[in-house]
Amino acid sequence: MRVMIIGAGQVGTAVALALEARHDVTVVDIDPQRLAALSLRGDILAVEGSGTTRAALLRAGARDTDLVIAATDRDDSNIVAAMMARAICKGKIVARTHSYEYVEAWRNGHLDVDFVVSSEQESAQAVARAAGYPTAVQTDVFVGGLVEMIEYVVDVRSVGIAGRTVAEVGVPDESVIASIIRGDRLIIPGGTDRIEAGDRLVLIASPAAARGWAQRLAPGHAAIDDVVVVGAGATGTRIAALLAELGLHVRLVERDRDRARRAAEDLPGVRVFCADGTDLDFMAREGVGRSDALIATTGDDARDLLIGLIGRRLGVRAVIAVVADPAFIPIFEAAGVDLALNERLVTAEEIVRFTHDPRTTGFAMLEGDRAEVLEIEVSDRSTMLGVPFHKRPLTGAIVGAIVRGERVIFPRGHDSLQVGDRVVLFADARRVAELERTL
Amino acid sequence: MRGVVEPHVDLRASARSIGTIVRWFSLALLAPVPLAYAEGESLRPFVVSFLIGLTIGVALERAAPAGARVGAREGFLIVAAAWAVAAGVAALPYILEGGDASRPVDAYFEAMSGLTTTGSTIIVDISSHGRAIVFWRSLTQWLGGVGIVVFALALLPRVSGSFLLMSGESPGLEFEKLSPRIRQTARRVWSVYLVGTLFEVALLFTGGLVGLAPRMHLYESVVYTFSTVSTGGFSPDPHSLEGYGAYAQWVVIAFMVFGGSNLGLWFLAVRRHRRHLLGDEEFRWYLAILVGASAIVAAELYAHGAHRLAEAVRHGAFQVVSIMTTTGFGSEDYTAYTQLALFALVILMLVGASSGSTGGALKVVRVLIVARILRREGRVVVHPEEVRPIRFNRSVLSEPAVRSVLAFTILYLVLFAVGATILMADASLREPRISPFEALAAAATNLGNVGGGLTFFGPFGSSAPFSDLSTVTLSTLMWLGRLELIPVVVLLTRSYWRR
Repeated sequence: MRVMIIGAGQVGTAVALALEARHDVTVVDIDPQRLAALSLRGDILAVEGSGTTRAALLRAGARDTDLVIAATDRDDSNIVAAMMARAICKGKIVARTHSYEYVEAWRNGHLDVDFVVSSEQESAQAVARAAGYPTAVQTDVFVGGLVEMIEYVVDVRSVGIAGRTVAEVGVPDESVIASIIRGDRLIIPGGTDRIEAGDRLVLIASPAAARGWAQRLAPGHAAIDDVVVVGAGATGTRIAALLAELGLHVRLVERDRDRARRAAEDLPGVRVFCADGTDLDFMAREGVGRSDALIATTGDDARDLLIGLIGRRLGVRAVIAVVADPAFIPIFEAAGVDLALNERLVTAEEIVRFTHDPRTTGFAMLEGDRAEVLEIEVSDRSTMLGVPFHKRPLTGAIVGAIVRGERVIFPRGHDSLQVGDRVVLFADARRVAELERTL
Repeated sequence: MRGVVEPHVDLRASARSIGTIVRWFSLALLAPVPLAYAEGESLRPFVVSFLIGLTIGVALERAAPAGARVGAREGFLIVAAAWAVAAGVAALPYILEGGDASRPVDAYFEAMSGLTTTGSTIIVDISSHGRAIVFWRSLTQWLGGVGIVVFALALLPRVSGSFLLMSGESPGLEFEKLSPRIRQTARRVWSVYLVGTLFEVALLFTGGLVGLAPRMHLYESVVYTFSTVSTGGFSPDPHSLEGYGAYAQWVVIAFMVFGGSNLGLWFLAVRRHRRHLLGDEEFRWYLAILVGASAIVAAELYAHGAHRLAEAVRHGAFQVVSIMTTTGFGSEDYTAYTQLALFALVILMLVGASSGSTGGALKVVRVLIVARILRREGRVVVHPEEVRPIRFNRSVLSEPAVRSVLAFTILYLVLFAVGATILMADASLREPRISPFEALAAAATNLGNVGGGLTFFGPFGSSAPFSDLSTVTLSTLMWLGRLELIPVVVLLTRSYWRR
């Protein structure tokens, strides 16, 4: 596949290096030095010029490109480049933005691109996943956050689950058990299959149902309820909004009066404080130590580290930091921060995930590469159209969720597929190619 | 100097705008003429008043050349003065008629009470007056309901600074534009008002025809409707709505509720979607308070009075709706009610109707916002760093807006206290002797443009026993209350008149 990346910043570089082994990668940037540095690190074609101009795109071969990724650091440049590329090439177009605004615009069909990745949203989701499901082995989101995939270890604390069949356990609404992983066996379960302690359960569920499962599987432990976010920048605000949507009690601390005010106005469900996260007196008075998680996202790595350490000292259960410079991640974790993540790396990962299959807009690998969870569009020639699942089950795969228009359906045996549906599919890796033909 | 922003008040330009409004208002004096002719009553009060009003209007218009621009400062002066002058013109028929309201102080009180939709009356025996005068009295309420400035704006082709004028006059927190054009907005508000008026006339009149509403003929239907939708409260009958039966009283309850709601919402609800009405936080609270207070008063009446349940519910609802919408009708003499019921009514007098309605007093929206401010203050004591914006109708109120609501509320209560103090001081020097509770009720009823009070100035009573000083005080309170204090109070500040 021929891939063109516009912008050789941190995101562009990370994506280019992740893809260059398997694809032909062209990178367009206005800065020759950055291009030279990138050329040394990977086998790529560097083209100097502005990705927002027609001339540069044509010169870089946009006409024959299968995938264009606008990944500069500026939202408006990325949107213009994506629009320009859409007019020139027939391939898929991905635009990277900071603001969640554009994701919403795209979802409503107001942006003519195939995929929009927002750094704020991706890192907010990564933090929310980590804060919301600390006992999960692996989590992933699909359909822009409406569907989640979580993998849990079933242990003896999972009262009413271990030692029972799927039918006895009862699968809550808005969730599907995609698989039971036992040792090196991967079971796509029916009602009579038994769940045992030590199994790993792969669930596909709505965010609310996923939280319900978390509480059933690990009572007490998973009940993260009270979260403090320090720093009401774009990312901090987005994290607070997302956690509040999940039903958590969120407090947001911001030093700057205007920013605090704006955050308070935008987030009715979040309590906002105008204070400094390094103010020990304030942190003690508001009982931050008793909260379940502290998220430091002030945009200043040194302060974030200090705030993380203060949280640790006060006794917060989980401390998470969003770091600006990915080089500091090991330092944060060595100092006792439970999770440090970088916005740009998270964004790059999301873009790379998109590139795995042109028709697949979501993708996750499980168990090394034995199973895949993918988001796929049902073709109008599919043999599964209108046939209820219990009449003709898929072999080695299960449909975890169906996106039909605005609705998300977590299917049961009597449901069936329709033209225009998108499905979140859990599949044995060996069967993916075959499934893509039948669906 | 035209076109340049002038830092001082342009009196000539203001006078011109006042003149225009007064000239248009004078036309209304011709409306009772056909009725007076048909009834064989004297035409003179109306024709002469019309000519005087027209002369005043035209003379004021001559003060400045056409095209003189008005700004924010002039806006306050124009609105405040237009109402004062219009009340003077509206008082002329009472003076010329020569009845028991013919002394200028009394006539002005009656006219101001009409235009401000208060409904307090100085007339002792309304049946001694001609039907045309009684019709005029209710017409002044109907015109004053939505506002004489809005009325003028709806008719006039163009008035500079019209937005400022309209927002200065409209009761409520913020003036909501229903259309990008101010004239269109004024017309839309008037169209809602007009439709409501026609509906009520039709319901009352047909009720009278089929015998549901005794004594409710076309004349009564129109006169009562004028005083209902405007939440005015003037009645052609000294016993208000007592003798018209249950049907007429329920119709009047419904249209008092309509008049006391935000008229703009009805426009949006009919034209776009009904969620504009029920989705409005103020409207929901307004209904909730009406229902809750009605239940309390009805329970009091049922427990203590000689009423059967259905009557208790009807009278409870009627009095509560009449007071809270600041109408001031009575379906029976509520001054004999229990202390608890009376107390509930006095509290409702202070709360008042919705913003953007024809009603007066503090307004539901302000009461709710003040409650939220107080709740926030309570939290801030415990969590000094917490930032809590005040929200209303799902949107955030800016801190200056919050402050102005607070300032308005305090100012309202201060004026209420000052008014009551003057009445009390005056009453301690001469007749009539009134109790402190009555003084407070009289101030609240007139400042809130309610009209019905307690004891002798209750729903069936007259304000005639008050001395001239008290009468002037009450007229001033009505004027202040109708214009939502600010346009008047601003005129009293020194900085307003300075460069």
